[in-house]
Amino acid sequence: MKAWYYIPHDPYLLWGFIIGAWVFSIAGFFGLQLLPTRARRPLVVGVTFVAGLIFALEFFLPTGIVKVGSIRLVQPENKNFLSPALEPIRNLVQIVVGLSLGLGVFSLLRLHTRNLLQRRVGWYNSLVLILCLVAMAVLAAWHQFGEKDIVQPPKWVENSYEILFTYTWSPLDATMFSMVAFYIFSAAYRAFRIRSIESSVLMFTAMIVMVGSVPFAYWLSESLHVPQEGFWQFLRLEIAKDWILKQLNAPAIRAIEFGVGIGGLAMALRLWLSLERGLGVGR
Amino acid sequence: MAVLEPQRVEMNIWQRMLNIDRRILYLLLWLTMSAVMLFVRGQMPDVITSPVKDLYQTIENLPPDKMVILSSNWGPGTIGENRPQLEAILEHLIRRRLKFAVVSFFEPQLSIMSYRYTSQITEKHGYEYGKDWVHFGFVPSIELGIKGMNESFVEAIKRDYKNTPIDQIEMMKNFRSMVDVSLVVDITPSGTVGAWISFVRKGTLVGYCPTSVMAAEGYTYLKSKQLVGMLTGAKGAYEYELLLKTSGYASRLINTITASHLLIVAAILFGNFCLLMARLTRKGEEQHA
Repeated sequence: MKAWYYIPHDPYLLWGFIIGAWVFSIAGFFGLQLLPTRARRPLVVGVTFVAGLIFALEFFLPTGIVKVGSIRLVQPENKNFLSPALEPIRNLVQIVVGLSLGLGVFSLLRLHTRNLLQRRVGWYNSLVLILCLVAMAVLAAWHQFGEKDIVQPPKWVENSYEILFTYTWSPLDATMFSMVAFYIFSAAYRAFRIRSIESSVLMFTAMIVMVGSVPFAYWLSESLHVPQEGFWQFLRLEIAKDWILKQLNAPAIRAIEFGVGIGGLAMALRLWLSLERGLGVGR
Repeated sequence: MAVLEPQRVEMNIWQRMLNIDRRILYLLLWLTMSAVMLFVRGQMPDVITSPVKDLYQTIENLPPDKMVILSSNWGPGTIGENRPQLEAILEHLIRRRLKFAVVSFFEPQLSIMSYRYTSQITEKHGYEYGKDWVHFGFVPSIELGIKGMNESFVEAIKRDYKNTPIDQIEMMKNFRSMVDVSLVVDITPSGTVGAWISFVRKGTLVGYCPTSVMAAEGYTYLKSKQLVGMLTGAKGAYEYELLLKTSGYASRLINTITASHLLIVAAILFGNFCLLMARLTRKGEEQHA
C-alpha cells in the first residue's frame, strides 16, 4: 500500500527535512513552555486524542475489500487506509526510546556530578557510578561498532568490554536474582505456618506443586507403585500438580486477567481522553 | 537514673529453632546446592508433561520451507531458566535443519545475550549466519514490531544485528513477512507472550518458554489453544532434552533444582513441627505451674 505521506529520496532534501524537523520540534517545545497552562492544555489533549485514535481505528477498522452501502472500498488484505501510518510511528518510537535513554543518562550524570563537586555524603559512590557509566558506554559503543563492521576496535577494547560485560555485569545481575532463592528458603521456614484452615490448604497445595514439579515426584510415585490411571492416579504428585495448575490455577488466573484487562481498558480510556491527572497539561 | 536490665527470656529448644539465625538457613541452602552440584551425577527419570510434548511435536511437524522466530527477551538474571530453554529449542530446530531468526525486545543488552548464546550453539553445529539463521537485533516496541513484521521484515526490521540490510541477507530472500513464519517461540521472563498472541497474524503458531513463576499464566492460553506448547523453566527444558535424547545445560541443573525444592519443603515441615512442639511444651509448662 502506497504511503500517504511524502518521503524525500534526495539526500540533500532528506537532510533538509531532518534539520527542519529538529528546528520545528525545538521551537515547538520552547513555544509550549511559553504558553499559559490554559492554552497548552487543549493542544496536548488534542494531540493525545488524535495519536490514540489512529491506533484504535487502525486496529478496529475492517481490512481488505469493504462494502458500505453503494461504496466499495478496495484495500489490500490485512490492511486499511491507516496501516501505512504504523511505519513512521514505529520509527518515532525508536527515536523516543533513544531520546529517553539519553535523558535518563543526562539526569543521572547531572545529579551525581553535583554530588561529586559539592562533596556531599557518599560522593565517592557517585564517582564510581560516573566512571563505570562512562567506561561501559564508551567500550560498549566501540565494541558494537566493531560487531557491525563499522570500525575495527583494538584488542584492549575487546578485552576490557569482555571484563565489564561478561565477567562483571552478567554475574552481578545473575547474583542479584539468585539471592531470591535464599530469601524464599528463609521465608518458607519462618512464614509458612499452619495457623488457620486457609493457610493449611495453601501450604499443602504449595507443597504438592513444589514436589510435583521436580523428577523426585515421578521417582516417588514409581517406587510406591502408584497406578498411572483411574482414581488413584491422583495420589501421584506429578498428576496432582498438573490438576492443580490446570483445573484450579488456570480459571483463577483467567478471572484475574479479565479484571486486569477491564481495569487496563478503563485506564487507557482515561489517558486517551486526558482525564488522568499529571499528564503534563497543568492542574 | 535507673538502668533497665535487658529482660532475658528463657527459650526452650523448639522456640530457639523457630528463631534460628537466617544466616544458618542461607548456609544450609548454599551447602546443599553446592554438594549436589559437585558430587551428584546422573539424573532421576521423569515424566514428560503434555505442554512440552505438544511443543516438541509442533516443531517436529513444521514445514521445512518456512522459518521460525525465537523471541529471546532474557538477561543474566534468569539465565538459569531461559538459557536451557533457548539451547533445547535451538538443538531441535538445527536437527530438523529449519531456518530461524532471533529477535529481542525491551532492552538492547538482551539482544547481545541472545546473539552470543545462539552463535555458540550454531557454530557447534555448523549452522551458518545469514544462510541458516539470522539475528534481527533489538526492537524497542514489541506491539509495533510484531505488527510491522506481519507486513514486511524489510520495513519493520530494516537492518540485522550486524547492521546488514535485511533484503541483502541471503536467507531472508525467501522470507518476506510473518506469512513465511510457521512458529514463534517466546523465551522470556516477562509477560511478552500476550503481545505475540494478540498481534501476530492468524496462522502463525506461538510456543512459550517462561520462567517457572510466570508459567501459571501460560496454562490459560494452553487450554484455549492460543499456545501450542510450553516449557516451564529449566524443568521444562530438561523434559525437552529427554525428548531430544540429549544431555544439555538443563540436565546439569535438574539435580540442584530438585534438591532446592525438597529442602524448601523440608524447611516448611520442620518449621511447623517446631511450632507444634513449642506450643505443646508451653502448654505442658503452664499445666505444671
